[in-house]
Amino acid sequence: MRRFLLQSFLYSLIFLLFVSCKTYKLTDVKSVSNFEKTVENLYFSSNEDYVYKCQMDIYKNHVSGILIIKKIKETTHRVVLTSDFGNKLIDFEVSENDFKLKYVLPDLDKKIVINFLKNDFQELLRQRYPVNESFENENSKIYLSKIDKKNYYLFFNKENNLLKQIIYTKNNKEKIDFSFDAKKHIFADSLNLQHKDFKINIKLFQITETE
Amino acid sequence: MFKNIILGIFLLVSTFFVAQNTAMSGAEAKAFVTKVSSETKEIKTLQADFVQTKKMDFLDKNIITSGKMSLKSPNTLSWKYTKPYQYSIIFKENKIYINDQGKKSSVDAKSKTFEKINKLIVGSSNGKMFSDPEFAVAYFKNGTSNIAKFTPKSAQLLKYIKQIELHFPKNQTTVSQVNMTEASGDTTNIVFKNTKINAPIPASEFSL
Repeated sequence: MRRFLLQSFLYSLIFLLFVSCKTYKLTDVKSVSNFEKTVENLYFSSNEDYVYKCQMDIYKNHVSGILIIKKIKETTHRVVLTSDFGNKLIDFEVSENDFKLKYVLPDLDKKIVINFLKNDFQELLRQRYPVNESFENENSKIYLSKIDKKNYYLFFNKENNLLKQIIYTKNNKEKIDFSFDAKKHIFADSLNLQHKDFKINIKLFQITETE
Repeated sequence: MFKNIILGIFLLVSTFFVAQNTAMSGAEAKAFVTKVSSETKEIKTLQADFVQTKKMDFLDKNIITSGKMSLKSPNTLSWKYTKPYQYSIIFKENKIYINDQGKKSSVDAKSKTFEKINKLIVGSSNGKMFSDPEFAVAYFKNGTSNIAKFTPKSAQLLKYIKQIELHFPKNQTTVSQVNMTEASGDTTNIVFKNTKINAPIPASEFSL
């Protein structure tokens, strides 16, 4: 029995290693010469209010509410999540290198939750990406941006030049996949944030432009 | 100096407006609570449209959502947002049913937060809140409404909410407006319209 347990433990360890060793690679793309020095994610760059209906799935927990994102300084955003009834769940200011928690509902006040939100929004709200390499495929122009140990693959639609996807990798492993649906470059109608290493998924649908 | 004068005028004007809500005397408050409590006992069902307005100091615009609520005595409640998105929550037989834009789920009503929400909504529409031991209540009146202001007694609850204000129009025993102030000072305001008392509610209203 013990032997069996040990064996299955080893197998799962090997399996885990194998899975986590899977590296992210672009397929079916061709390299093109670098024209752009930097590319930008402008979806949260305007000073106006960005208001989204939000659905979060964190493992088996479903959180619903309203997410508000507002650029308050050149490099800083205010992010507030309220329940559908309007009461605030979490409120923070975030920039590339800084994070200031202004309020969190006692029930949500857990380091792991706050760290996830901090990291996810730091990545989502990152605006400028220096370009290291460029590629293209049938539908997209793809830019690879390397910042420290992090690599970002930004996919722009060839037809309308709108950013449609960012794949964030660390140590060459796929970490988060951001997909955008947009009609203009400063505003995403919906977006989907999916963790590749944890069961965390955030979906946003715009309710900014309602009338 | 000039600034001080402006500030002085502003304070005067604002006191004037605030002064329009005058505190009820002890006897007035007692009569008001008795009247509301006894009349709401007669309420078997309640339906209303609502408009919810969320204000936050850093936003340019308020966030406005709206929908419909239905309540069946003693504790079946349906709260449905229809604009600008679809979200329904139904409290029924100690269970909570949620339809989040087509995604359906249900939970046992054991969650503390949900319990509080349920108590808050049901309580504010049937007057039972007046006797809730968690809150201190102060009573005010103005030309058109009687106002009950609820302040949590415990530090624990104060972390969630600073004050809840219920407005009862003078000719009405149900709430026409709820103003909630959070610990941060942000407010959520819910206005009820087209209130119907004891009109039949189809069972489908309480299922997803």
